[in-house]
Amino acid sequence: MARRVRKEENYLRGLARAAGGALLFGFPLLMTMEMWAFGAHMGRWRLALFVLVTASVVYGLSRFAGFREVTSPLDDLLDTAAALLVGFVVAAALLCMFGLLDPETAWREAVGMIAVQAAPASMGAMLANRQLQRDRPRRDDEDHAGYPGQLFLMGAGALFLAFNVAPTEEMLLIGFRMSAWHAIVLVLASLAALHVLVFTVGFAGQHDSESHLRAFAHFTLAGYGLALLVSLYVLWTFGRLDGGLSEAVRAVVVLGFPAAIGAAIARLVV
Amino acid sequence: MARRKPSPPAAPDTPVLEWIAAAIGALLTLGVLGYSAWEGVSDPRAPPDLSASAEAATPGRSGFVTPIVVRNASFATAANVEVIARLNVGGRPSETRRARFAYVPGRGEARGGVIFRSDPAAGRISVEIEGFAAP
Repeated sequence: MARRVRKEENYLRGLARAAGGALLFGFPLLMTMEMWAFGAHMGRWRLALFVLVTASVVYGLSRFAGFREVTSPLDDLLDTAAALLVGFVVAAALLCMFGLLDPETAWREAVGMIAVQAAPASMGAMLANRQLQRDRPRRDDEDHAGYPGQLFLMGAGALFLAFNVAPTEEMLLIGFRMSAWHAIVLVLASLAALHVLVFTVGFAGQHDSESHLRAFAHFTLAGYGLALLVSLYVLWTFGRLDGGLSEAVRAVVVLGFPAAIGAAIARLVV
Repeated sequence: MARRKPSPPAAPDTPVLEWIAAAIGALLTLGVLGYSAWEGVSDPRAPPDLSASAEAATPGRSGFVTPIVVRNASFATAANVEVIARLNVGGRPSETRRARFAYVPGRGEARGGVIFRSDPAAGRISVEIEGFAAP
């Protein structure tokens, strides 16, 4: 009985930690003006797909950084649901506290606002348990996850950082101010930053004897490709691809820079 | 360098996925570089080249909602584009409306609209660009 109580208490503590993580990861976007409007004008199919993508990423993070020591797919599913719950509750509570949501807000708008904001908060909730717990040995799942796991982590890191800056008007403006030559330099700089970070941080499964060229192909090029795809998806979600091909390519390159850095440092965070 | 630390031959057990991921990455990167380079050599410094047109109106609660499309044929983006739309009925000007577009991206388009009190189908709409700012 006493053991059971302790177990429940531990879980509650985990939830509190998760709420802390949700706050930490969620508040920059909760305090970003453009994010409030997306809830109202984002297409409902895009929003639904976005919630689905969020849930999948949180599930993936649970595979590598869950609440518990030993996990089965069912445990991961439960943890994912808990992280999503914490994310939604924290997002809704903060939006209410800031006076952005009140009983007069239209349902459609309120649901959209909370759903968009819940994404970073849920990811934070899942990661918090990995980062903030002290008394537990590090679970090294990601080391055994192999190459697909590494790709997933890079994608999740790219998604998180890209998502954090994508909603702002500055992203568009930077794209407009840059010439095509600036864009080329930015692509090369993103690749260089990614390669240097990958090498200094050291991805699991990357052998010391591995040549630079192979690491470049398997981590840097693959990671940058992921960063570009993630940027494309995030821009599409926010309806920023409707202006024409030139604008779209430029925006993908601009957002690809934070996404590439996110891909490279994902391993540090998880 | 190669003599001091011979790099091992590519491991034969490298998973196919690693090559696929690398190939996709290379393809996307080269695609972006190629497109930007093409854009860079085609038309670097021309000013925005804007044109506006009106589309078929839909009756709404406050009048006839007439969509306006502004297109930009140049690579240079225009900001704060001011558009003026005039409705002429029977050869005489009857209504004038203005709309402002935050951005019209280079080689792209922006959409907005104006609202006329009377049905534009009964007359002719002329749309003109008044001006813009650099972003």
